[in-house]
Amino acid sequence: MAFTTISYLLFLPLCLGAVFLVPKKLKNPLLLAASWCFYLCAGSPGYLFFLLFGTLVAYCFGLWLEKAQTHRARLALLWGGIGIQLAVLVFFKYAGLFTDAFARFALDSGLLYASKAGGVLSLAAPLGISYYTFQTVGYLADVFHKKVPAERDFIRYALFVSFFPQITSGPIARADKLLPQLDGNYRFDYSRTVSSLQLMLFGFFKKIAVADMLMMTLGELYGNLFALNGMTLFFLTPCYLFWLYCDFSGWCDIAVATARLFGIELIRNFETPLFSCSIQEFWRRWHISLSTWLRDYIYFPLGGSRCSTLRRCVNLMIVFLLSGIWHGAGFNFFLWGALFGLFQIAENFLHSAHGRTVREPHGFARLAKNVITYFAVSFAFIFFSTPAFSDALHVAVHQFMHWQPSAFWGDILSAVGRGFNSTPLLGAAYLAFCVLCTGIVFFADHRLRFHLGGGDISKGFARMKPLVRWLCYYGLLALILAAFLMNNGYYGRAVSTAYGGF
Amino acid sequence: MKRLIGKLSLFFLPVLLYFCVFIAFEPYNYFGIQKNNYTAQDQLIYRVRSFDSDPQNALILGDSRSAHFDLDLIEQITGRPFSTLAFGGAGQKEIIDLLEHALRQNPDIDTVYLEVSFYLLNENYDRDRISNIETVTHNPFAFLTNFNYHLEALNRLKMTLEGQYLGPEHETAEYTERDYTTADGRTLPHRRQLLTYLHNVYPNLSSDRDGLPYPLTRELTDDELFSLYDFLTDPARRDSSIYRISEEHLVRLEQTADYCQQHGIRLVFVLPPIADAMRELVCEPLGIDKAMQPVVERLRATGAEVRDFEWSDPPDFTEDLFFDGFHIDTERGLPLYTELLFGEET
Repeated sequence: MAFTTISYLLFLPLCLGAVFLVPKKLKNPLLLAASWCFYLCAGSPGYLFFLLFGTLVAYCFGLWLEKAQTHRARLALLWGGIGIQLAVLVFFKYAGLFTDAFARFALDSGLLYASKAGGVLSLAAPLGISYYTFQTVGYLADVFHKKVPAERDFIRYALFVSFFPQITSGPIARADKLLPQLDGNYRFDYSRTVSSLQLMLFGFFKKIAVADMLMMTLGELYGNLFALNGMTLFFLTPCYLFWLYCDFSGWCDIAVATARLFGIELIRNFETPLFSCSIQEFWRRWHISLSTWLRDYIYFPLGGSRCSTLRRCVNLMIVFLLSGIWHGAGFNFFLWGALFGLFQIAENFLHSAHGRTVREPHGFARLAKNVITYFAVSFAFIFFSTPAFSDALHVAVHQFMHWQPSAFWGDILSAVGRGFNSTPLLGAAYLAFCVLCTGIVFFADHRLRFHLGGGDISKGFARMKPLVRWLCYYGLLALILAAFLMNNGYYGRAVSTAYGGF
Repeated sequence: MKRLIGKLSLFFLPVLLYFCVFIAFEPYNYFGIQKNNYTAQDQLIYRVRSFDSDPQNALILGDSRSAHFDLDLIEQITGRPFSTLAFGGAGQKEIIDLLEHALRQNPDIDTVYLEVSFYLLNENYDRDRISNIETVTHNPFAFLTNFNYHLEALNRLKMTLEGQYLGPEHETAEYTERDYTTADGRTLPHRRQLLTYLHNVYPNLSSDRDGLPYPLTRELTDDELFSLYDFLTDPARRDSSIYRISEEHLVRLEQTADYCQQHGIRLVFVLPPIADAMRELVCEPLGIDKAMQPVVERLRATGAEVRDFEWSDPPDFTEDLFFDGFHIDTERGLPLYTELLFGEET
């Protein structure tokens, strides 16, 4: 079951109604049961076992950590608990990489015959394992550092790990923020529900009307990389970055809005990152739950920036490399992380050359920095966007060669024709639709960033006059419905969130 | 809570209204509530749902040439009710897939009339929509969220507002002398509608082009019709054939025959009649008739009945009994053809 399915739209109100109506002592067990059902419907039933295993391990180790008397014992329990959690994650995500590498090595070196070396171990990782593993590791670290007491109520702890809005694709919750909210006091609140629904509406808009629609063409372009013109390649990855932002932030908005319906506030994962003026600012605003997790549990324990310049650079590189391999088990992701590490290190040197404080840029300088940052980030995302290194290298190198505007339009129009499978008129309507929806996202993010001081879209809605607000509702709804229909049936194809496989 | 429910109702009201309009104008009468939709019964979705809800043990499968049989007339002739899953535009793969669907729905099927033809066996003519149709016929949500059905509903709404005719398409016409002669009194080699039809199908079978516009948005002039005739009968056309028989489809037909034999199902392969103009001006010059000979022999070798009205046993039908090169006139020719095909059932 995904957020963008009709079954979810039936599941959510039923779940909400049931949780609000049952007595307090049954709310958490019911919500936990609903979360497990959601997880079962979203992925393979066998993987519930690993979720339960991870939950039980962290729960038990948390309690033992708190009871342990000596620092040595606590440390051993901490590393034991983290080790078990990470072992499961590493096994599912990275074992295939090693067996694949071993099989190739064995073939090349003649250790094994081809017939014996066939059948690389390739396991689909349990849904959301990267997210809930980090969440439980963070919990154990917090218990160790006595930031939070170990949770004694298993139901509550299991709900912390399995809470359905965030189990599949985050945001990665912190124990000190989420656990206290899981107190069973879930009540209906009108204004909170309205702001949740507003956020959810915009989340669906970004996911269905923008991301899913863009992927119809992007998918065709990425499937035909070696035939594309240099100009097409140059603009491909910035478009991919925008698509990824709409896809993932849309999904996260729906997750945050869903949780808010229950009265639970999850961390917001995106704060208009595409308007960032530096790599550092980008990572403060993009996938915030992951970047802050890496900062608090890896970067700071390594020494952070309170050490020598060289050590700081090493710490940064370690964090970004870990971020890369967290996203995927492949050389491309490793390189993606390394590029960001290098960019960040270079940026730090530039800033230190300018003096300790760097003023907030304005006007043209701001625009220039924004554009440079956007394209720098896009360049790094070349290695995130394709699984094959050869494809990524082709894009990275050939995007600066053989620019032909006529060939660029030809590439776009033929990709639209293949992806949307339509008449020229419908193809033109599709392009106009994409431009309109992209403009809406740009406008909304711009307003939030530069006029409303950040936050989520419900802030913008709250400031509108009722008539304007309702016109916006109906406009977004019409666009979502049109996009949903265009993605079903003979035209278009079903898409899923890019971050759902982690 | 009441306030929220009120506002949510207001929010979803336009969506509800839109879907009411969609249900009122969708061309398939999926929910069975449209009173004046005469074309729905010819549509595949309607036929699959009708079959699934009330399947008969005798079945007709094919494309538009088998889709207009009068089932009441067939029942009158044969003494038993028939179901039809034939639909316009069907491909050979789809016809066989539909047979498999029908056998899953009704294992008691004992008689199948399955259309085969040179046009369906063309390797370049390959369509595969049945899995989507199966989903849509049993899942109202899949039907309600299918974009091309929405386009068709909106198109139907537009036609209704414009006052256009939405009745059933009758493949029949009254022909006058003008249809067989030119303005200056010359006799056309074939009826003008038949010649025009050959122009439309030719690109699917040959790499040569007659120099006339594709697609055709006007009537051909008398001179263009003669020039088309000369083009089609030019011996140079012989080397331009792009017609290839799909071995994959042929093997599936043989497997189907084998299955039917094992399960005691009477299978009749039907190759429907084609107009003489089609045979003489397209099929013979392009060698399609020769290509089909081994096909018919293979079908006969399966042990199934083969009613070959296309090549070895064409009926003595005059041109005015054909609406176009492939389709028999539903008023004048179809009853005769029905009697010819199903008369042996009694």
